[in-house]
Amino acid sequence: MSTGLGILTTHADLTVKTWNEWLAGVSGLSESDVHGRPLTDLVAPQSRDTLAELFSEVMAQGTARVLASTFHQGLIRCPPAQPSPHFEYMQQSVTIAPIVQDGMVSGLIVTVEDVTGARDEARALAARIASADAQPSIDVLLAGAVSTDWRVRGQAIQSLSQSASDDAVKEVLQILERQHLELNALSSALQVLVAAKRNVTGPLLGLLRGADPNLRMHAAQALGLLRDRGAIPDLVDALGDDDSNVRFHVMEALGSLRATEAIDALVEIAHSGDFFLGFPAIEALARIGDPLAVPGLVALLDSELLRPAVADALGGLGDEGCVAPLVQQINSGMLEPAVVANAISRIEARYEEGYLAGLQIRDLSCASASPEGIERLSRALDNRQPPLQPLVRVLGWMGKEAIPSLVRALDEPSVQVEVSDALESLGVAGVPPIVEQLENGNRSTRLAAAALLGRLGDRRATHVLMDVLGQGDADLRQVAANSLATLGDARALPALLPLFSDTHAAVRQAAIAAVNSIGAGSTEQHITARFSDPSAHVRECAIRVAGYFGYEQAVQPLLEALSDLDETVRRAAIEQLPLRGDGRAPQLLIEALRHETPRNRAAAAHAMRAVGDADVEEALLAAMRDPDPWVRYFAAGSLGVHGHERASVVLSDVAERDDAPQVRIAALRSLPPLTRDASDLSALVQRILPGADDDLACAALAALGSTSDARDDELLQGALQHSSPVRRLVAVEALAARGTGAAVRMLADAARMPVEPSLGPAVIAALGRVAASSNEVSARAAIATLLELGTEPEWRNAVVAILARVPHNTEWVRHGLSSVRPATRRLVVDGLGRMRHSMASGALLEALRDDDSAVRVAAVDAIGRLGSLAAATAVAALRSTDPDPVVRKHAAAICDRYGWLDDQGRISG
Amino acid sequence: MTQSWSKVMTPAARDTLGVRVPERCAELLRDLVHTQTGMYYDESRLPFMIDRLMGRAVERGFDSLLDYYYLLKYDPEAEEEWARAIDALAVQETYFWRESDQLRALTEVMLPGLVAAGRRPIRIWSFPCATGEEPLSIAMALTDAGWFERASIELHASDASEAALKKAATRLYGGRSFRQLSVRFRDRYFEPVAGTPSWRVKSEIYDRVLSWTRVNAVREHEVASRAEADVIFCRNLFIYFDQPTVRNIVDHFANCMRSPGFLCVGAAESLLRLTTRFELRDLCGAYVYEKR
Repeated sequence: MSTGLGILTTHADLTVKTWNEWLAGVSGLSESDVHGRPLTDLVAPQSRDTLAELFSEVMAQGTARVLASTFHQGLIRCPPAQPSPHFEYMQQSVTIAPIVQDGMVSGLIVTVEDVTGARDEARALAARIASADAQPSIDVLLAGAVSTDWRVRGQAIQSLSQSASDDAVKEVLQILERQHLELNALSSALQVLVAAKRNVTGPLLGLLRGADPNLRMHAAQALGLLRDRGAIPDLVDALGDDDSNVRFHVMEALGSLRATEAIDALVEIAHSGDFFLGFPAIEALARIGDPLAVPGLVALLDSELLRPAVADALGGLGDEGCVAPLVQQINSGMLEPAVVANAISRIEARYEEGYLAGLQIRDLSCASASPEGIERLSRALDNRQPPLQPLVRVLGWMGKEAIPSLVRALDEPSVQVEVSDALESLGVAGVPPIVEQLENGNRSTRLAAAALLGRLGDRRATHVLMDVLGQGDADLRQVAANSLATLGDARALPALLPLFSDTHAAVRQAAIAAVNSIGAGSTEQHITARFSDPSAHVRECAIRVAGYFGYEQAVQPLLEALSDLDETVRRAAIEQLPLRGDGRAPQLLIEALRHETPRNRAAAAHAMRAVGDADVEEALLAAMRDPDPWVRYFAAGSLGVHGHERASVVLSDVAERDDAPQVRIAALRSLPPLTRDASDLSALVQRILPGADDDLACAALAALGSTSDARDDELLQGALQHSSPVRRLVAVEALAARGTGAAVRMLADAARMPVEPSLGPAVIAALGRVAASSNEVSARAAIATLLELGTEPEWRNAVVAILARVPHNTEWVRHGLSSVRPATRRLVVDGLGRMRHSMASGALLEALRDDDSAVRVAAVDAIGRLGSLAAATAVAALRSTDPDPVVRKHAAAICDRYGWLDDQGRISG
Repeated sequence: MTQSWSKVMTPAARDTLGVRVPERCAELLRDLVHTQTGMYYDESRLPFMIDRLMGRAVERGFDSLLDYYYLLKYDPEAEEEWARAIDALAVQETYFWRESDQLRALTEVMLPGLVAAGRRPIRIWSFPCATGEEPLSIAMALTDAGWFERASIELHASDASEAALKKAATRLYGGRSFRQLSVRFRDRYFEPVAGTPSWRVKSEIYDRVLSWTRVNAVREHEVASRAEADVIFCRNLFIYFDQPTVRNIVDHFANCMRSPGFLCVGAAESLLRLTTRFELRDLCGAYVYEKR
């Protein structure tokens, strides 16, 4: 073999073109043997299908693929070149790449490398690392950490992290020093340092000041990963490094550390004109996320090259102060409207979510936009300039000049919802163009336009909606009737009445709602005239409308309808009986429950939920033996509303033994309010749960929300860990309903469980419900738990929102200000800042004296947003008295932003 | 997509139907529909599914969608209601001569190849056929190219929606169905219906489709009865399913079909990462999968 590498090429049809000596040696086939043969004929049979697909993919997509030996059988099946203790066949690393000629893929080039030896070594090393007899030596682990086999590296890293002696860490740092140019070594070293949780900052800072720029670079990278804020001063100093690569990584690290101390220096770099460093400086400022950077960033909007990055950064951290400069970019045509819209939209969303103050941003945007700017936004939407959703949202703030382009965008499915929301916010000025879309647009647009006209509520749309009612498309008829239901325009009645005979129940129901919206006075004679219509659908609709209005003239027809030949008409009459408040209703319902068809008996049982009567309860209890499961289902539901303790015995039996699962579920749902002794309910649930499907189990678990038996905690704990997501959710809700101390503890544990991330938001929300409850003990426990969980980045926003909504429990929230953890105190400050409660304002003043500067900064910002002039003096004083420069800067910025100081620097107003 | 309008309906608009949607009911229904039909409604299409099924709930007299869920899941006679639910969920947005490059590939490449391979009769299956535009387009293409005279060809059509099949049985079609069909073909193979804007397809075309059957894509025994075909037109079905379901269906097709055999899917659909049992071929500029 001339080389240690197999190389072949193919034609476009994947037949072999060239085949080198190495391949001839391992396969026993010469080039002349294989020339012109399909490559798939020559590969290992077990891999044929997979390789065929890969070859096709590379040909089609023009991108290379690498097959690692651990996952593939190799290209050519043959014994290893040297005998292997572990492998019968040669282990091969295969690369498949396209050959491109004149812009087209004309074939493949495939390389094959024998990696059997390397894999043998890795196996041996892995065996030594995993050896149970003795702890592997540091040398073995370090060798494993730089292995080419990712699994060996992983084992070694894990072992190193766990052992993490000072010597081990020192050795790892030396690896970093010696072998930092090898990607595997660097990656392993960094992972060990981060995972080891040792204080390696000192040595890394030493490397950061060292002579080797590569080492300085990697040291900066490692410090960013370690997230040790103690490194910030040195990293800020390193922003002046001679080497731009080092500065690049220093900036990244400072961004990761959210180092507000670096803001001034980063702004300076961004302004320096060095574009290689300007972009990472802006990105670092965006990641730091402190609005102190806003003035410096806004000034950079003058830079043509940096402008888009600046706009994006301002979208992430900007405040109301940058809205006008951003909008000016649209007005002047300096930036793509969609880019600016994206930034402003993010600021608005942040203000709305955080402070319910999105309106401020919207108003500022509208006030700053010129007619040319609105025109540019409109054109961008017409041209479908991405991203579209922010563009639509911002246009929706711009007033009626934006209406034409928004209406034209109704046919764009990806933003139809946003367009409709925007048009609704712009009000009735949009009605005429939307009407035109309803008349002339494609089907999707017409449906959206019909729905939107209902939302706008302008009766100028009545006639065009009426026209749609006569058309062939049932969806359109339904949507148009729905919209007429919100308009309540009596002029629509002649067009609505024919829909009573529509073959689609949803259309008829929408027509009923629309007629109901018109009012009794205009409709009575038309409806009563239809009680004897030949069409059962019409009679049914007439009964329903009459039931809704309770026309005096409709009493007798309604009673007569109970004997109608048509089942659906009788059913409509049954359902209307309770609505009239007629004393005959209970008996008539009982009659229906006993003698009607199954569907109508079910309707009677369901209607009885609105009738509290001893005879009715008796009839419902008897109906629990009805042969039809739907009768029993609705009877069980109605017993839950008006039943008494006696019903709980019957329902308990049904919950356990009924043949129909839905009946058992209905019984379980009804039991909690009827059961005097909650332990009976607990015992029932414990018998039902084993073997229950998800629906039945969820009903059972939900019932536990009304019990307080400690044994039920176990059942709920089990459900929290069940494989079924819906059981877990129901268990969370049941715990929130129980609101006991144990429930709060279980919820807290569930929030910390890493297994099911999607359960987390439900748990936090559940704790929020307990926190807002009137049960003092539980609420207090829940708040304490939330204060602890809220320091986790993933829960912070949700917890702040919850804290802001419990003003009646402010005292317990405020208690968090005495937590030993600054992160908790900051969380409390943010929550108080959104509370708008006098006690909250007082607490924030306290927080201005906190030991931690970040807490004081948060308090300054919160007081600023609350606009509390009473606190202005305290904030103003911080400008000069606070020991921390960042706090002083924030205090000054807040005073400036809200105009608290006069020209002499005294509190104004 | 025509379903996005239902996201535009506000909860207030939905309230006019008088059907409540309790918490988690939407997801429960979605999972049930997925299990029973293979159709998967992600977050963006869930409102469409809800609106469609709300109409069924109204038909059944329920005022809660949860009751309708229990009906579909537990009622001993749910089968019939499933047929209605599938009808409600079916999006009948189709027209004649859709993706005509595959029709050309059929007449110019696939059929000659199958004839040369001695295949007799040649079976063609259109699934889903919706309201009939696709199988009738195939019939028109074959008739126009004289294939029924040259070879023994059996053309069959299936759909999961009974309502769609009923509509196909009326043989009547309106304006939007013809938006891609040439006037020549329309005038040659359809007759105008006096006093209406509709056209009726002529018997010489309609009768070429030998059967119109109801088939649920995730019921293998139903699929097997028709999938022993030489050419399957399965276009714009897979876009409604998740990948594991598509993989199962395609595998089942492969189990039933002979080689060579051809599978035509929609322009927005790809089997590239799902199966190696079919090979993508370019036939006259149309992408068609050939069974290996």
